[in-house]
Amino acid sequence: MNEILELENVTLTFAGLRALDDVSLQVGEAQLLAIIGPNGAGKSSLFNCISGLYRPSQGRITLDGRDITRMAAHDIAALGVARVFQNLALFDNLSALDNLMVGRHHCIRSSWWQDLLALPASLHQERRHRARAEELIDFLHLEAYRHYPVGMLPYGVRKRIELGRALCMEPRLLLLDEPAAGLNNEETEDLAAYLLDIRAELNTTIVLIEHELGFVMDLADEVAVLDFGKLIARGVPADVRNDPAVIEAYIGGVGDADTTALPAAPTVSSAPADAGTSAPPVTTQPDPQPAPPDPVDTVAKQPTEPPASVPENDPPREAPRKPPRNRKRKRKGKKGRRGQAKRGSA
Amino acid sequence: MTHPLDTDYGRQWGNTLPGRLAVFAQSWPHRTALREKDLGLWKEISWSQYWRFVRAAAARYQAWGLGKGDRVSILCGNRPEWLYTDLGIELLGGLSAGVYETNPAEDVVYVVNHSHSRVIVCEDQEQVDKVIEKLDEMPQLEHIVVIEPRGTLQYDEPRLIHWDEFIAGGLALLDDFDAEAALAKLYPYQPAMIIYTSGTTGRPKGALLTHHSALSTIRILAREIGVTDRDTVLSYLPLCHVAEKAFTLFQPLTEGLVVHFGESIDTVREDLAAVSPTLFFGVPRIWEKMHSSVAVGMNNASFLKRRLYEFCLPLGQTLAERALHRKSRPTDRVLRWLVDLLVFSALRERLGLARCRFAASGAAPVAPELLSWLMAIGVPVTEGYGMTELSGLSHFNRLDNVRLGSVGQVVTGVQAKIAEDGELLVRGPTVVKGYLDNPEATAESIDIEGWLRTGDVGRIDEEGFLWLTGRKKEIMITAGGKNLSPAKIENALKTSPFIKEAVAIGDARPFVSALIQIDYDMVGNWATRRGIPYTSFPDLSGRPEVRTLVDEEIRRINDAALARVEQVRKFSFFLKELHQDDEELTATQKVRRKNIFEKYADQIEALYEKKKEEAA
Repeated sequence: MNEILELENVTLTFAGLRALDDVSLQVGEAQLLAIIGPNGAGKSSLFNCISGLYRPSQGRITLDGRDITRMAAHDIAALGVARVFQNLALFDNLSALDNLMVGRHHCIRSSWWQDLLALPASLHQERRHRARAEELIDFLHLEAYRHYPVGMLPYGVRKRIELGRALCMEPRLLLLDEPAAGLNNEETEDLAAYLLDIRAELNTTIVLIEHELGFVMDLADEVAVLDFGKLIARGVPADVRNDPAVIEAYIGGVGDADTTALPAAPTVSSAPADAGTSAPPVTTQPDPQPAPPDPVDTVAKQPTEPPASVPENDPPREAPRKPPRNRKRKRKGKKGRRGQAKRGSA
Repeated sequence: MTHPLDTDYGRQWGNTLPGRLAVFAQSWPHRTALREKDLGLWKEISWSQYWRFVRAAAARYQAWGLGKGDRVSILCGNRPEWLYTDLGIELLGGLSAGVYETNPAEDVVYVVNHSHSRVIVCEDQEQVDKVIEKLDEMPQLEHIVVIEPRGTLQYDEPRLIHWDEFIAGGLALLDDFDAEAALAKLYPYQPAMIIYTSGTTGRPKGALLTHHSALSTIRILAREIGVTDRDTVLSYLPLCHVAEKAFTLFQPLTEGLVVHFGESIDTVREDLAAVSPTLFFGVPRIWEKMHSSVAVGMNNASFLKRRLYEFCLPLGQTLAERALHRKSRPTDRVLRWLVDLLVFSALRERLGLARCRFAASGAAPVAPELLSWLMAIGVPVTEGYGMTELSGLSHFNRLDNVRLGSVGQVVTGVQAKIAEDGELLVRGPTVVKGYLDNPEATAESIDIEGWLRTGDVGRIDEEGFLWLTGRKKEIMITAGGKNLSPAKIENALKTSPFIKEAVAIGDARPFVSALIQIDYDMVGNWATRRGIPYTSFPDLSGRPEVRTLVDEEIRRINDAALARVEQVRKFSFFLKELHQDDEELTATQKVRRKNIFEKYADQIEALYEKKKEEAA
């Protein structure tokens, strides 16, 4: 596989505290890598190192074989690294479209006086960038929000706009920091479908940090686990889930490594070919629990349900899942589902 | 210049739908036939391009071995491809069957199997997934065409073909495809399409529309309202429904007007404002939405705007009323000009009705209050009556002769009468051929003399205006022996912006009660403004303040619009929003009363229980 991003022995220290400790990682082209780990494991620090916000104390980061360790953040962005932050970082008073156009900023070649005079070159360029933004509006189904100020829009839509803005940069590498946080089930399902589409259509490499393990296990080709700044495991989701070191990091328990498993969905990674088979589509709903704010909680609470040691041949706790395929584009109808559970007589 | 249809070519081919397209393509090859908003821009499609795509689709179908009598199902939102695939199969003498996009997979299977479709055209991944999920149940299905391939590129299903490939294959075959020979084989009285009824009471029935019935309806209407090729329409309601078909397909092919396709179902409001069509068809829900959006907008507007609106609206209503009764005074024109200038022309522009010269309401009874509001703001709106089995239309109010609350007079060339039991019977060229594979239902609906039993009860007054009471099967008889129409009561209730859906109950009951679904957005907005906290739909419905609000609304409506026996004495809320997936609504968002009565039996009983307790 063609490596896009390579980290060699990256170490980051803050006043003696090792946020990242000798991390080495390679990400191949069009790969979807998920980085998981408990709070404070150094996941966001890792992103900050890649995108140039932090300078690693030691080690080397290369993008397409080019050393970017000491580069400024905007230069790295110009090389095709786009990042979506955990908290929204949109311009609330600009329209959705304008926010997307901001993502095209690094491609604008005309100077300010050309723009001011509205010279043909400038206008031509504007049209070209607008066309690209419109393609992403179509891709992410944002048509209805094009001209609304972003501050007015619901959270899930804003998240989508932010993803769109990152894609406007036509990135080779997309860094997503907890993209599913705060989204409801349906939106999470949509997001997964979008990510698969991004990879299939745009051939973009995606690295994402996520706390919702179910989401990660379904989606990612590979999972890397960080704990106290160290990379403790890396592999396909099914393997990582059973890795003793991972279980210990997450659950903090001792337990028999072979009989304890992480509580995530047990299926194999979502290879794109998988999505295309004519096998009966999966009807299982995504994990009913929303993305929790604290990852340690999620993981820590789970094992209480199945006792700490589950016999190996026990059936999986929930049905195996495949990547969500049904993108509910026409959301109108779905709205009606609200509050269905609580029906009763008045 | 002679009209295309008056040329020799026009006279030769102008009696079928694909034939008419050929005529327009011949006469006006470069004029715009369709506009579609794609990637934020309106793109134009000329008559000759339109015809070329239709021929390409037909050629491709032919290469697949489809021909006369074969069916193609279309599971797609409104877009030009709908028309290409539809007219393509019609050109070969086959039939199209539209499927609602909102239908769950089981209902898709029903239509595909009932119509024996060999090909299905799907819009996107979401629709394809429904088909693939149930592929085993549809053995006769040979090809699945998907228009937007996103997400389906890796599907490993040999029957799947993407639109680009489909149409490119068709275009490559065009040289060998003789469209005129295909047209020559068509005759106007052969079935051209299957339109499935909404199925409020049972399984949908497939009505067979012929070229002749489809064209006659609209030809009559077009003549009466003077449709020309300069008119424009926006295609936005489901094309599986006869009313939208009439406006997107029949009407443009009758007079050559321009059809616009917006971006998506979520952007109808923006698209409408951008297109500002001259002819507009709306279902009551659309008018209700417009009304409540203006109500909300005015609540949030500045003091001056609000006062202006409050001042102009009654004036507009008075003017509209006087015009309605032909008692306009000479000064009325000036006043109308004034209120337009102050408020209404801007308002109409916002709503996308600025250029509208004929707005029709149909598909379900609309509250007269809503129509009079529209007239007050200067929208020339009129109510009509029609049904799938009538190819869309049989009655409508002429703009110069409107009776509010009536659905109007019968259109030229169609006869209507009331049977002894009060049922409306209609006869004429617009009546469909019958139902597909359902001779019993056909015999039941259409008698030997060609009279169609509409299933609607009403009366025709001496001037020929039809006044409908309701569906024959829905009429309720109270314990006191009064015949009531639930539709009337429900529509009156729905005039309140806070009430989205209402189901009236009263059959064999001592009084009328209703189940109410609040309008989540409107009531939510109201609650937020008053600082009433809520989390979800059931929570909001359960708030005592909301109960009081709706109670007051119902009292107001009782006094204003309902006779004593019709008045709603008690109500309770649906604690969820009604939904098609739960079999509570049809694809056209009509309430399936029978299912509601079964599902909410306890809740309904409770309404009458309490009364007894109080009495005791």
